[in-house]
Amino acid sequence: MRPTMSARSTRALTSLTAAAALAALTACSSAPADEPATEEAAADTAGNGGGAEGVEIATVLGDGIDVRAEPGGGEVLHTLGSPNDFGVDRTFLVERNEGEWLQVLLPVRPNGTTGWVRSDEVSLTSTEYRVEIDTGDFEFTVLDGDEEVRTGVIGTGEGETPTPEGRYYFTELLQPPDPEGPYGVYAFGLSGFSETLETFAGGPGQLAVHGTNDEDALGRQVSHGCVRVSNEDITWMAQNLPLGTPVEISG
Amino acid sequence: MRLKNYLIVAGFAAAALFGGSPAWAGQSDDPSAAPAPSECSADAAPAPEESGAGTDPCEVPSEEALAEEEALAEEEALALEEALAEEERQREREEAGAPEPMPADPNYTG
Repeated sequence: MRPTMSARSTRALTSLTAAAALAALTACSSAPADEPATEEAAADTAGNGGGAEGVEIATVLGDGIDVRAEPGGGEVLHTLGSPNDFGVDRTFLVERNEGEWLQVLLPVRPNGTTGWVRSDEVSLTSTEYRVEIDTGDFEFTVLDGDEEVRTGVIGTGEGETPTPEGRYYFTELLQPPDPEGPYGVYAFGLSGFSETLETFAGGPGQLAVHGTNDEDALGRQVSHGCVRVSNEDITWMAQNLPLGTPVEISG
Repeated sequence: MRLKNYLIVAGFAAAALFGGSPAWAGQSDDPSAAPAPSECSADAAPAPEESGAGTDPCEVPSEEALAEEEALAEEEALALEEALAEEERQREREEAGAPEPMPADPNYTG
């Protein structure tokens, strides 16, 4: 028996209701307004100065990436694996976005080295956070856009192993096995290196911002180059700041 | 990914809200009503060999059993609460874009 008009209408109404529910569910999963709607849209953003509008962070998609001297090809300066030596996905701070090519700050010596990577070999995210570290005043400030959201006391490098000034970014977040050890509860690796130590503790002399087991020593030159903060401050950073967050160290 | 998280959270919330009353309308006229005492008559009780464990289904649970049940329910509620809290922490971490800490021994310049 063929369905009556009434039955058809009921079926149509049911289909429409299901479609509307599906559309509503799909709409709920769209990105918040402050995130790039798509990777392509993010890649089209020109410039990445790190002001109130935020910066872009590139995360390598494959198991490695070629870094070139110029956009559009040219000499391969470095081939960097992903994940990095600590098993964390390789990230870069994007300094300039030219669509197909991105100029990125590299976690290599000498400090401040940049290179170019293809934008289709990375995924892009963004953050409005940045960290300013004043080694002269022994103070750090975290800014969200133009707003100061956290400040605290720091310990810096001693006379022979100073904390080098420059622009860096967080490369990984580690949780040391002993939370009461010298690195405290968390340690954010930086993209920069000591300028006086080629190696340290079996590592490459990499700088970091980390907690401490001696908070009384904050406000002084106590480290071999790393920036020490209280465990409370590093915990806040670990809960709020993404990898790739820019860190400006000045004296 | 975000949709998946929302669905998981919604699932937990629904379980928490409706978990105690899963019965459909047609299955029972009064789901909260206790079994009628007449069902516990000697005629209705199964023979020991039929009941398997040999326990009387009409037997009133002892205080110990009740306490055990209560403890079990509390444990389950606690586990559900913890799962929800962990889900919430994970969601907040993802929303903030914060990284998952990697357990490792650092070799930074200290």
